[in-house]
Amino acid sequence: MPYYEKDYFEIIISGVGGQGNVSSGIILGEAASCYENKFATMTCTYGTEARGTFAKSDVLIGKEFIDFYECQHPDVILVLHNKAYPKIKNKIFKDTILVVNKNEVDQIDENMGRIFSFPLSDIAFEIGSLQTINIIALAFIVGKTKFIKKSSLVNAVKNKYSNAKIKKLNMAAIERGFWLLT
Amino acid sequence: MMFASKEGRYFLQGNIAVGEAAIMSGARFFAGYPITPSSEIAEHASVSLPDVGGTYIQMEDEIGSIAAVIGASMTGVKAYTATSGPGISLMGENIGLACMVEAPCVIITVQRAGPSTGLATKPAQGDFLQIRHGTHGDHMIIALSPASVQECFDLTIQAFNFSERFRCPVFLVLDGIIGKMYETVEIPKRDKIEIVNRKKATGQPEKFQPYKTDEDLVPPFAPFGSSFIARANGSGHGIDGYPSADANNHEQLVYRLINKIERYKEEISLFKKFNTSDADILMISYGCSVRPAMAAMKKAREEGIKVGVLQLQTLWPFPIDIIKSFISKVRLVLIPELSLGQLKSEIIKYSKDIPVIGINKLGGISIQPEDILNVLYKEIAK
Repeated sequence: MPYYEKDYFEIIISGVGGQGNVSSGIILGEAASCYENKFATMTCTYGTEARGTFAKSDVLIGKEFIDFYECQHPDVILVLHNKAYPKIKNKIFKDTILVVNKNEVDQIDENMGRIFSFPLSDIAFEIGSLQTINIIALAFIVGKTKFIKKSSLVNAVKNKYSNAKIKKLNMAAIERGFWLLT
Repeated sequence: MMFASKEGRYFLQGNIAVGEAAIMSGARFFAGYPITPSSEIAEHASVSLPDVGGTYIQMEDEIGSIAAVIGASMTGVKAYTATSGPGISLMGENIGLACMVEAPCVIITVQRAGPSTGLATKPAQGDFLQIRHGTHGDHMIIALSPASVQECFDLTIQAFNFSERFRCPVFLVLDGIIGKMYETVEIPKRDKIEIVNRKKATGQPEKFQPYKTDEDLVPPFAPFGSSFIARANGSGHGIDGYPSADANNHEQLVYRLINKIERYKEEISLFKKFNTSDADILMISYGCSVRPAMAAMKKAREEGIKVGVLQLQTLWPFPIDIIKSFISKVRLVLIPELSLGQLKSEIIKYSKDIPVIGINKLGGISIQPEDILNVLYKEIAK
Protein backbone atom coordinates (compact mmCIF):
# COMPACT_ATOMS: atom_id res chain seq x y z
CA MET A 1 0.00 0.00 0.00
CA PRO A 2 1.39 3.44 -0.88
CA TYR A 3 2.25 5.53 2.17
CA TYR A 4 -0.22 8.29 1.36
CA GLU A 5 -3.08 5.81 1.53
CA LYS A 6 -2.13 4.54 4.98
CA ASP A 7 -4.20 5.64 7.96
CA TYR A 8 -1.13 6.12 9.96
CA PHE A 9 2.54 7.03 9.46
CA GLU A 10 5.49 6.85 11.88
CA ILE A 11 8.84 8.58 11.55
CA ILE A 12 11.85 8.78 13.87
CA ILE A 13 14.27 11.68 13.45
CA SER A 14 17.52 10.87 15.24
CA GLY A 15 20.87 12.55 15.64
CA VAL A 16 22.79 14.56 18.22
CA GLY A 17 22.16 17.93 19.82
CA GLY A 18 18.44 18.19 19.69
CA GLN A 19 17.14 21.49 18.39
CA GLY A 20 17.20 20.42 14.74
CA ASN A 21 15.49 17.13 15.59
CA VAL A 22 12.77 18.91 17.54
CA SER A 23 12.17 21.70 15.03
CA SER A 24 11.99 19.34 12.05
CA GLY A 25 9.44 17.28 13.97
CA ILE A 26 7.43 20.45 14.58
CA ILE A 27 7.56 21.28 10.87
CA LEU A 28 6.18 17.84 9.97
CA GLY A 29 3.51 18.11 12.66
CA GLU A 30 2.45 21.56 11.48
CA ALA A 31 2.43 20.47 7.85
CA ALA A 32 0.07 17.60 8.71
CA SER A 33 -2.09 19.41 11.30
CA CYS A 34 -2.47 22.86 9.76
CA TYR A 35 -2.30 22.18 6.02
CA GLU A 36 -3.82 18.70 5.68
CA ASN A 37 -6.32 18.46 8.53
CA LYS A 38 -4.53 15.39 9.84
CA PHE A 39 -3.68 14.55 13.44
CA ALA A 40 -0.05 14.56 14.55
CA THR A 41 1.73 13.82 17.78
CA MET A 42 5.40 14.12 18.70
CA THR A 43 7.51 13.15 21.69
CA CYS A 44 11.20 13.94 21.98
CA THR A 45 14.09 12.41 23.84
CA TYR A 46 17.23 14.33 24.62
CA GLY A 47 19.75 14.61 27.42
CA THR A 48 20.32 17.44 29.87
CA GLU A 49 23.72 18.18 28.29
CA ALA A 50 23.98 21.43 26.34
CA ARG A 51 25.13 19.75 23.14
CA GLY A 52 26.47 16.58 21.60
CA THR A 53 24.08 14.11 23.16
CA PHE A 54 21.78 11.64 21.43
CA ALA A 55 18.47 13.20 20.47
CA LYS A 56 15.38 11.70 18.90
CA SER A 57 11.91 12.80 17.89
CA ASP A 58 9.06 10.35 17.36
CA VAL A 59 6.52 11.87 14.98
CA LEU A 60 3.25 10.05 14.32
CA ILE A 61 0.76 11.27 11.75
CA GLY A 62 -2.71 9.85 11.21
CA LYS A 63 -6.16 10.53 9.92
CA GLU A 64 -7.56 10.32 13.46
CA PHE A 65 -6.42 10.81 17.05
CA ILE A 66 -3.33 8.69 17.77
CA ASP A 67 -3.47 6.68 20.98
CA PHE A 68 0.16 5.95 21.76
CA TYR A 69 2.78 8.65 21.28
CA GLU A 70 5.90 6.56 20.59
CA CYS A 71 6.77 4.90 17.28
CA GLN A 72 6.09 1.17 17.45
CA HIS A 73 6.81 0.25 13.84
CA PRO A 74 8.47 3.22 12.10
CA ASP A 75 7.88 3.68 8.38
CA VAL A 76 10.95 5.91 8.20
CA ILE A 77 14.00 6.50 10.40
CA LEU A 78 16.36 9.38 9.71
CA VAL A 79 19.84 8.82 11.13
CA LEU A 80 22.01 11.92 11.05
CA HIS A 81 24.82 10.83 13.37
CA ASN A 82 26.79 7.72 14.35
CA LYS A 83 25.76 8.10 18.00
CA ALA A 84 22.12 7.69 17.03
CA TYR A 85 22.35 4.45 15.04
CA PRO A 86 22.80 1.99 17.95
CA LYS A 87 19.96 3.67 19.83
CA ILE A 88 17.41 3.29 17.04
CA LYS A 89 18.65 -0.07 15.69
CA ASN A 90 15.99 -2.10 17.50
CA LYS A 91 13.28 -0.05 15.75
CA ILE A 92 14.40 -0.99 12.22
CA PHE A 93 11.97 -3.36 10.55
CA LYS A 94 12.35 -5.06 7.18
CA ASP A 95 10.16 -2.46 5.47
CA THR A 96 11.53 0.55 7.37
CA ILE A 97 13.07 3.21 5.15
CA LEU A 98 16.39 4.23 6.69
CA VAL A 99 17.69 7.59 5.52
CA VAL A 100 21.34 7.89 6.49
CA ASN A 101 23.79 10.79 6.56
CA LYS A 102 26.82 9.17 4.95
CA ASN A 103 29.15 11.90 6.26
CA GLU A 104 28.59 11.03 9.90
CA VAL A 105 27.27 7.46 9.95
CA ASP A 106 29.71 4.78 8.82
CA GLN A 107 28.89 1.65 10.77
CA ILE A 108 25.51 0.36 9.71
CA ASP A 109 24.12 -3.08 9.14
CA GLU A 110 23.43 -3.18 5.39
CA ASN A 111 20.85 -5.93 5.88
CA MET A 112 18.56 -3.94 8.13
CA GLY A 113 15.83 -1.84 6.54
CA ARG A 114 15.68 -0.20 3.12
CA ILE A 115 18.73 2.07 3.18
CA PHE A 116 19.05 5.39 1.37
CA SER A 117 22.44 6.90 2.10
CA PHE A 118 23.51 10.43 1.10
CA PRO A 119 26.31 12.82 2.09
CA LEU A 120 23.75 15.09 3.76
CA SER A 121 26.31 17.23 5.63
CA ASP A 122 28.18 17.99 2.38
CA ILE A 123 24.94 18.86 0.60
CA ALA A 124 23.89 21.16 3.47
CA PHE A 125 27.25 22.95 3.34
CA GLU A 126 26.83 23.40 -0.42
CA ILE A 127 23.47 25.06 0.19
CA GLY A 128 25.10 27.37 2.70
CA SER A 129 24.37 26.04 6.18
CA LEU A 130 24.74 22.72 7.97
CA GLN A 131 21.51 23.57 9.78
CA THR A 132 19.52 22.88 6.61
CA ILE A 133 20.42 19.19 6.89
CA ASN A 134 17.11 18.23 8.52
CA ILE A 135 15.05 19.98 5.87
CA ILE A 136 16.97 18.33 3.02
CA ALA A 137 16.29 14.96 4.62
CA LEU A 138 12.63 15.76 5.32
CA ALA A 139 12.09 16.81 1.72
CA PHE A 140 13.60 13.55 0.49
CA ILE A 141 11.39 11.59 2.88
CA VAL A 142 8.24 13.47 1.85
CA GLY A 143 9.13 12.98 -1.82
CA LYS A 144 9.87 9.30 -1.36
CA THR A 145 6.80 8.38 0.66
CA LYS A 146 4.29 11.18 -0.20
CA PHE A 147 2.70 10.76 3.23
CA ILE A 148 2.17 14.51 3.17
CA LYS A 149 2.14 16.85 0.17
CA LYS A 150 5.19 18.83 -0.88
CA SER A 151 3.09 22.02 -0.68
CA SER A 152 2.29 21.31 2.99
CA LEU A 153 5.99 20.96 3.79
CA VAL A 154 6.77 24.17 1.91
CA ASN A 155 3.99 26.05 3.74
CA ALA A 156 5.09 24.77 7.13
CA VAL A 157 8.73 25.75 6.50
CA LYS A 158 7.71 29.20 5.23
CA ASN A 159 5.55 29.69 8.30
CA LYS A 160 8.32 28.58 10.65
CA TYR A 161 11.02 31.03 9.58
CA SER A 162 10.31 34.75 9.40
CA ASN A 163 13.90 35.72 8.51
CA ALA A 164 14.05 36.05 4.71
CA LYS A 165 17.58 34.69 4.39
CA ILE A 166 16.85 31.60 6.50
CA LYS A 167 13.60 31.05 4.64
CA LYS A 168 15.47 31.16 1.31
CA LEU A 169 18.09 28.68 2.53
CA ASN A 170 15.40 26.25 3.65
CA MET A 171 13.46 26.57 0.40
CA ALA A 172 16.67 25.65 -1.41
CA ALA A 173 17.05 22.72 1.00
CA ILE A 174 13.57 21.45 0.11
CA GLU A 175 14.33 21.57 -3.62
CA ARG A 176 17.65 19.81 -3.04
CA GLY A 177 15.95 17.10 -0.99
CA PHE A 178 13.47 16.41 -3.79
CA TRP A 179 16.32 16.42 -6.28
CA LEU A 180 17.86 13.48 -4.40
CA LEU A 181 14.96 11.37 -5.64
CA THR A 182 16.10 11.70 -9.22
CA MET B 1 3.07 37.22 21.56
CA MET B 2 0.40 34.58 21.64
CA PHE B 3 0.95 31.49 19.61
CA ALA B 4 -2.67 30.63 18.97
CA SER B 5 -4.51 33.89 19.43
CA LYS B 6 -6.91 33.03 16.61
CA GLU B 7 -9.16 30.01 16.42
CA GLY B 8 -7.94 27.19 14.24
CA ARG B 9 -5.72 24.13 14.12
CA TYR B 10 -2.27 24.22 15.64
CA PHE B 11 0.57 21.84 16.46
CA LEU B 12 1.42 22.89 20.01
CA GLN B 13 3.38 21.64 22.96
CA GLY B 14 1.27 20.66 25.99
CA ASN B 15 2.92 23.29 28.19
CA ILE B 16 2.28 25.98 25.57
CA ALA B 17 -1.36 24.94 25.18
CA VAL B 18 -1.71 25.40 28.95
CA GLY B 19 -0.17 28.88 28.69
CA GLU B 20 -2.45 29.89 25.80
CA ALA B 21 -5.54 28.70 27.64
CA ALA B 22 -4.49 30.52 30.83
CA ILE B 23 -4.39 33.81 28.98
CA MET B 24 -7.68 33.09 27.21
CA SER B 25 -9.19 32.33 30.64
CA GLY B 26 -8.34 35.88 31.62
CA ALA B 27 -5.27 35.11 33.75
CA ARG B 28 -3.09 38.21 34.02
CA PHE B 29 -0.53 37.32 36.69
CA PHE B 30 2.14 34.66 36.84
CA ALA B 31 4.79 34.24 39.51
CA GLY B 32 7.07 31.25 39.34
CA TYR B 33 10.48 29.69 39.49
CA PRO B 34 11.05 27.72 36.27
CA ILE B 35 11.73 24.02 36.63
CA THR B 36 11.69 21.24 34.04
CA PRO B 37 9.51 19.74 32.71
CA SER B 38 7.26 22.78 33.28
CA SER B 39 9.65 25.57 32.18
CA GLU B 40 7.87 26.43 28.93
CA ILE B 41 4.80 27.56 30.88
CA ALA B 42 6.87 30.21 32.66
CA GLU B 43 8.64 31.13 29.43
CA HIS B 44 5.31 31.47 27.63
CA ALA B 45 3.90 33.64 30.44
CA SER B 46 6.98 35.89 30.41
CA VAL B 47 6.49 36.61 26.72
CA SER B 48 2.69 36.63 26.52
CA LEU B 49 1.49 38.35 29.70
CA PRO B 50 3.15 41.76 29.10
CA ASP B 51 1.41 41.87 25.71
CA VAL B 52 -2.03 41.65 27.30
CA GLY B 53 -1.30 44.07 30.14
CA GLY B 54 -0.48 41.28 32.57
CA THR B 55 2.44 40.73 34.92
CA TYR B 56 5.14 38.07 34.97
CA ILE B 57 7.50 37.81 37.92
CA GLN B 58 10.36 35.34 38.15
CA MET B 59 10.56 34.76 41.89
CA GLU B 60 13.41 33.79 44.18
CA ASP B 61 11.85 30.37 44.84
CA GLU B 62 8.54 28.49 44.91
CA ILE B 63 7.63 29.66 48.41
CA GLY B 64 7.64 33.23 47.13
CA SER B 65 5.92 32.19 43.89
CA ILE B 66 2.76 30.84 45.47
CA ALA B 67 2.73 33.71 48.01
CA ALA B 68 2.82 36.26 45.18
CA VAL B 69 0.07 34.36 43.32
CA ILE B 70 -2.18 34.45 46.40
CA GLY B 71 -1.48 38.16 46.90
CA ALA B 72 -2.27 38.94 43.27
CA SER B 73 -5.44 36.86 43.41
CA MET B 74 -6.66 38.80 46.47
CA THR B 75 -6.46 42.01 44.45
CA GLY B 76 -8.93 40.44 42.00
CA VAL B 77 -6.55 39.24 39.28
CA LYS B 78 -6.66 35.72 37.91
CA ALA B 79 -3.27 34.28 38.84
CA TYR B 80 -1.30 31.10 38.20
CA THR B 81 2.02 29.42 38.71
CA ALA B 82 3.73 26.38 37.20
CA THR B 83 6.19 23.99 38.75
CA SER B 84 7.01 20.31 39.28
CA GLY B 85 7.00 18.04 42.36
CA PRO B 86 10.03 19.70 44.03
CA GLY B 87 8.29 23.07 43.72
CA ILE B 88 5.00 21.74 45.12
CA SER B 89 6.99 20.51 48.13
CA LEU B 90 8.14 24.08 48.77
CA MET B 91 4.70 25.54 48.10
CA GLY B 92 3.07 23.18 50.60
CA GLU B 93 2.47 25.63 53.44
CA ASN B 94 1.04 28.41 51.28
CA ILE B 95 -1.25 26.07 49.34
CA GLY B 96 -3.05 25.76 52.68
CA LEU B 97 -3.11 29.56 52.90
CA ALA B 98 -4.79 29.71 49.48
CA CYS B 99 -7.43 27.24 50.74
CA MET B 100 -7.94 29.18 53.99
CA VAL B 101 -8.19 32.71 52.56
CA GLU B 102 -10.13 31.32 49.59
CA ALA B 103 -7.83 32.77 46.96
CA PRO B 104 -8.78 31.51 43.49
CA CYS B 105 -5.62 30.42 41.67
CA VAL B 106 -4.35 27.69 39.37
CA ILE B 107 -1.28 25.69 40.32
CA ILE B 108 0.13 23.75 37.39
CA THR B 109 2.40 20.87 38.23
CA VAL B 110 4.21 18.89 35.54
CA GLN B 111 5.23 15.71 37.32
CA ARG B 112 8.77 14.38 37.04
CA ALA B 113 10.50 11.38 38.58
CA GLY B 114 11.26 11.82 42.29
CA PRO B 115 11.85 11.76 45.15
CA SER B 116 13.91 14.92 45.64
CA THR B 117 15.57 16.22 42.47
CA GLY B 118 14.94 12.77 41.00
CA LEU B 119 15.30 12.72 37.23
CA ALA B 120 15.18 16.27 35.91
CA THR B 121 13.02 16.48 32.73
CA LYS B 122 11.89 12.84 32.94
CA PRO B 123 8.21 12.04 33.45
CA ALA B 124 6.46 10.34 36.36
CA GLN B 125 3.08 10.23 38.09
CA GLY B 126 4.35 9.98 41.64
CA ASP B 127 2.77 13.18 42.96
CA PHE B 128 -0.86 12.01 42.91
CA LEU B 129 -1.05 11.92 46.71
CA GLN B 130 1.20 14.95 47.25
CA ILE B 131 -1.31 17.09 45.38
CA ARG B 132 -4.10 15.94 47.68
CA HIS B 133 -2.23 15.92 50.97
CA GLY B 134 0.75 18.23 50.37
CA THR B 135 -0.49 20.90 52.76
CA HIS B 136 -1.38 20.30 56.38
CA GLY B 137 -4.77 20.30 58.02
CA ASP B 138 -8.17 19.03 56.88
CA HIS B 139 -8.98 20.51 53.53
CA MET B 140 -10.21 19.65 50.03
CA ILE B 141 -8.71 20.62 46.73
CA ILE B 142 -9.67 20.23 43.09
CA ALA B 143 -7.18 18.61 40.69
CA LEU B 144 -7.65 18.09 36.95
CA SER B 145 -5.34 16.10 34.69
CA PRO B 146 -5.10 16.13 30.87
CA ALA B 147 -4.05 13.15 28.73
CA SER B 148 -3.52 15.02 25.45
CA VAL B 149 -2.47 18.47 24.31
CA GLN B 150 -6.10 19.25 23.41
CA GLU B 151 -7.06 18.43 26.99
CA CYS B 152 -4.18 20.62 28.23
CA PHE B 153 -6.00 23.52 26.60
CA ASP B 154 -9.55 22.52 27.60
CA LEU B 155 -8.81 21.58 31.20
CA THR B 156 -6.76 24.74 31.85
CA ILE B 157 -9.88 26.76 31.00
CA GLN B 158 -11.86 24.45 33.28
CA ALA B 159 -9.28 24.80 36.09
CA PHE B 160 -9.55 28.61 36.07
CA ASN B 161 -13.34 28.37 35.95
CA PHE B 162 -13.50 26.03 38.95
CA SER B 163 -11.03 28.15 40.92
CA GLU B 164 -13.10 31.28 40.29
CA ARG B 165 -16.42 29.63 41.00
CA PHE B 166 -15.39 27.85 44.20
CA ARG B 167 -12.74 30.40 45.32
CA CYS B 168 -10.10 27.77 45.89
CA PRO B 169 -6.73 26.71 44.49
CA VAL B 170 -7.10 24.27 41.60
CA PHE B 171 -4.30 21.96 40.53
CA LEU B 172 -3.71 21.22 36.88
CA VAL B 173 -1.71 18.01 36.92
CA LEU B 174 0.44 17.19 33.91
CA ASP B 175 3.40 14.86 33.62
CA GLY B 176 6.66 15.18 31.72
CA ILE B 177 5.20 13.36 28.71
CA ILE B 178 1.98 15.36 28.29
CA GLY B 179 3.68 18.67 29.11
CA LYS B 180 6.51 18.21 26.63
CA MET B 181 4.67 16.45 23.81
CA TYR B 182 3.47 18.27 20.71
CA GLU B 183 0.07 17.51 19.26
CA THR B 184 -2.66 18.77 16.98
CA VAL B 185 -4.95 21.17 18.85
CA GLU B 186 -8.20 22.86 17.84
CA ILE B 187 -8.50 26.30 19.42
CA PRO B 188 -12.16 27.34 19.47
CA LYS B 189 -13.48 30.83 18.84
CA ARG B 190 -13.19 33.10 21.86
CA ASP B 191 -16.95 33.48 22.18
CA LYS B 192 -17.35 29.69 22.27
CA ILE B 193 -15.17 29.42 25.39
CA GLU B 194 -17.10 29.70 28.63
CA ILE B 195 -15.26 31.89 31.13
CA VAL B 196 -16.32 32.04 34.78
CA ASN B 197 -15.44 35.00 37.01
CA ARG B 198 -15.65 35.11 40.80
CA LYS B 199 -18.77 36.55 42.42
CA LYS B 200 -18.33 40.19 43.33
CA ALA B 201 -19.19 41.83 46.64
CA THR B 202 -22.39 43.91 46.69
CA GLY B 203 -24.14 46.12 49.21
CA GLN B 204 -22.63 48.70 51.54
CA PRO B 205 -18.81 48.54 51.35
CA GLU B 206 -18.20 49.52 54.98
CA LYS B 207 -20.60 46.83 56.26
CA PHE B 208 -19.21 44.07 54.05
CA GLN B 209 -18.32 40.80 55.76
CA PRO B 210 -15.55 39.17 53.70
CA TYR B 211 -16.41 35.55 54.60
CA LYS B 212 -20.19 35.66 54.75
CA THR B 213 -21.29 33.10 52.22
CA ASP B 214 -24.20 32.68 49.89
CA GLU B 215 -26.29 29.53 49.49
CA ASP B 216 -23.47 27.89 47.55
CA LEU B 217 -21.10 28.19 50.56
CA VAL B 218 -18.81 30.52 48.57
CA PRO B 219 -18.29 34.10 49.86
CA PRO B 220 -18.57 36.95 47.33
CA PHE B 221 -15.20 38.54 46.65
CA ALA B 222 -13.98 42.06 47.42
CA PRO B 223 -10.52 42.89 46.13
CA PHE B 224 -7.86 44.54 48.24
CA GLY B 225 -7.77 48.21 47.30
CA SER B 226 -11.51 48.59 46.67
CA SER B 227 -13.94 50.49 48.91
CA PHE B 228 -15.12 47.18 50.39
CA ILE B 229 -13.58 45.80 53.55
CA ALA B 230 -11.06 43.11 52.61
CA ARG B 231 -9.31 40.77 55.02
CA ALA B 232 -7.33 37.60 54.41
CA ASN B 233 -6.27 35.47 57.32
CA GLY B 234 -4.57 32.09 57.46
CA SER B 235 -5.67 31.62 61.06
CA GLY B 236 -9.18 30.55 62.00
CA HIS B 237 -11.45 33.46 61.25
CA GLY B 238 -15.06 34.49 61.52
CA ILE B 239 -17.24 35.80 58.71
CA ASP B 240 -15.81 39.28 59.37
CA GLY B 241 -12.31 37.99 58.55
CA TYR B 242 -10.89 38.67 62.01
CA PRO B 243 -9.00 35.87 63.80
CA SER B 244 -11.14 33.53 65.87
CA ALA B 245 -10.04 30.57 67.99
CA ASP B 246 -13.62 29.61 68.78
CA ALA B 247 -14.10 25.84 68.53
CA ASN B 248 -17.50 25.94 66.82
CA ASN B 249 -16.35 28.59 64.38
CA HIS B 250 -13.31 26.52 63.40
CA GLU B 251 -15.41 23.43 62.88
CA GLN B 252 -17.90 25.32 60.72
CA LEU B 253 -15.14 26.98 58.72
CA VAL B 254 -13.26 23.78 57.90
CA TYR B 255 -16.48 21.93 57.04
CA ARG B 256 -17.52 24.78 54.76
CA LEU B 257 -14.16 24.88 52.95
CA ILE B 258 -14.55 21.16 52.25
CA ASN B 259 -18.27 21.15 51.54
CA LYS B 260 -18.23 24.03 49.08
CA ILE B 261 -16.34 21.57 46.84
CA GLU B 262 -17.81 18.22 47.97
CA ARG B 263 -21.37 19.42 47.43
CA TYR B 264 -20.65 19.96 43.71
CA LYS B 265 -18.55 16.85 43.28
CA GLU B 266 -20.77 15.44 40.54
CA GLU B 267 -20.24 18.53 38.37
CA ILE B 268 -16.53 18.64 39.17
CA SER B 269 -15.90 14.93 38.41
CA LEU B 270 -14.85 14.90 34.78
CA PHE B 271 -14.00 11.64 33.07
CA LYS B 272 -13.98 9.86 29.71
CA LYS B 273 -14.98 6.30 29.03
CA PHE B 274 -13.92 4.14 26.10
CA ASN B 275 -15.57 0.80 25.26
CA THR B 276 -16.85 0.38 28.79
CA SER B 277 -20.45 -0.65 27.98
CA ASP B 278 -19.69 -4.32 27.28
CA ALA B 279 -16.31 -4.52 29.05
CA ASP B 280 -15.63 -7.15 31.68
CA ILE B 281 -12.09 -5.89 32.23
CA LEU B 282 -11.52 -2.21 33.02
CA MET B 283 -8.36 -0.11 32.92
CA ILE B 284 -8.46 3.03 35.04
CA SER B 285 -5.79 5.65 34.43
CA TYR B 286 -5.01 9.34 34.06
CA GLY B 287 -2.52 11.58 32.25
CA CYS B 288 0.10 10.02 29.98
CA SER B 289 -0.68 6.43 31.03
CA VAL B 290 -4.12 6.66 29.42
CA ARG B 291 -2.43 6.60 26.01
CA PRO B 292 -0.70 3.18 26.18
CA ALA B 293 -3.87 1.91 27.88
CA MET B 294 -5.91 2.99 24.84
CA ALA B 295 -3.48 1.29 22.46
CA ALA B 296 -3.50 -1.88 24.58
CA MET B 297 -7.31 -1.84 24.71
CA LYS B 298 -7.61 -1.73 20.91
CA LYS B 299 -5.12 -4.57 20.50
CA ALA B 300 -6.93 -6.69 23.09
CA ARG B 301 -10.31 -5.95 21.46
CA GLU B 302 -8.95 -7.25 18.13
CA GLU B 303 -8.37 -10.51 19.95
CA GLY B 304 -11.88 -10.54 21.36
CA ILE B 305 -10.94 -9.53 24.91
CA LYS B 306 -13.57 -7.14 26.23
CA VAL B 307 -11.51 -4.36 27.75
CA GLY B 308 -12.59 -0.79 28.45
CA VAL B 309 -10.75 2.32 29.61
CA LEU B 310 -11.91 4.81 32.23
CA GLN B 311 -9.88 8.02 32.04
CA LEU B 312 -10.02 10.21 35.12
CA GLN B 313 -9.77 13.89 34.19
CA THR B 314 -10.68 14.95 37.72
CA LEU B 315 -8.32 13.37 40.25
CA TRP B 316 -9.52 15.22 43.33
CA PRO B 317 -12.00 15.24 44.93
CA PHE B 318 -11.66 11.54 44.21
CA PRO B 319 -14.64 10.46 42.06
CA ILE B 320 -15.70 7.62 44.36
CA ASP B 321 -19.20 7.16 42.94
CA ILE B 322 -17.94 6.99 39.36
CA ILE B 323 -15.24 4.51 40.30
CA LYS B 324 -17.74 2.34 42.19
CA SER B 325 -20.28 2.31 39.38
CA PHE B 326 -17.73 1.28 36.74
CA ILE B 327 -15.89 -1.27 38.89
CA SER B 328 -19.08 -3.05 39.90
CA LYS B 329 -19.65 -4.17 36.28
CA VAL B 330 -16.27 -5.86 35.67
CA ARG B 331 -14.31 -8.86 36.89
CA LEU B 332 -10.83 -7.35 36.76
CA VAL B 333 -9.35 -3.87 37.09
CA LEU B 334 -5.92 -2.81 35.77
CA ILE B 335 -4.29 0.47 36.84
CA PRO B 336 -1.40 1.61 34.62
CA GLU B 337 0.50 4.51 36.23
CA LEU B 338 4.05 5.88 36.34
CA SER B 339 4.32 5.39 40.09
CA LEU B 340 4.33 2.47 42.48
CA GLY B 341 0.56 2.46 42.81
CA GLN B 342 -0.68 5.77 44.21
CA LEU B 343 -3.87 5.83 42.12
CA LYS B 344 -4.34 2.14 42.85
CA SER B 345 -4.07 2.80 46.61
CA GLU B 346 -7.14 5.02 46.33
CA ILE B 347 -9.12 2.69 44.06
CA ILE B 348 -8.71 -0.42 46.23
CA LYS B 349 -10.63 1.37 48.99
CA TYR B 350 -13.76 0.95 46.85
CA SER B 351 -13.14 -2.22 44.82
CA LYS B 352 -14.43 -4.74 47.40
CA ASP B 353 -13.55 -8.26 46.18
CA ILE B 354 -12.81 -7.35 42.55
CA PRO B 355 -9.10 -7.87 41.85
CA VAL B 356 -7.15 -4.67 41.14
CA ILE B 357 -3.74 -5.07 39.49
CA GLY B 358 -1.25 -2.22 39.19
CA ILE B 359 0.96 -1.78 36.13
CA ASN B 360 3.78 0.39 37.38
CA LYS B 361 6.94 1.82 35.94
CA LEU B 362 9.81 3.90 37.25
CA GLY B 363 12.87 5.26 35.47
CA GLY B 364 11.28 8.26 33.80
CA ILE B 365 10.07 6.34 30.75
CA SER B 366 6.59 5.70 29.41
CA ILE B 367 4.56 2.57 29.99
CA GLN B 368 4.41 0.63 26.72
CA PRO B 369 1.20 -0.96 25.39
CA GLU B 370 3.00 -4.34 25.60
CA ASP B 371 3.64 -3.83 29.33
CA ILE B 372 -0.11 -3.66 29.80
CA LEU B 373 -0.91 -6.52 27.40
CA ASN B 374 1.60 -8.79 29.14
CA VAL B 375 -0.14 -8.28 32.48
CA LEU B 376 -3.54 -8.63 30.85
CA TYR B 377 -2.69 -11.98 29.19
CA LYS B 378 -1.18 -13.27 32.42
CA GLU B 379 -4.24 -12.35 34.44
CA ILE B 380 -6.65 -13.86 31.91
CA ALA B 381 -4.68 -17.13 31.88
CA LYS B 382 -5.05 -17.51 35.65
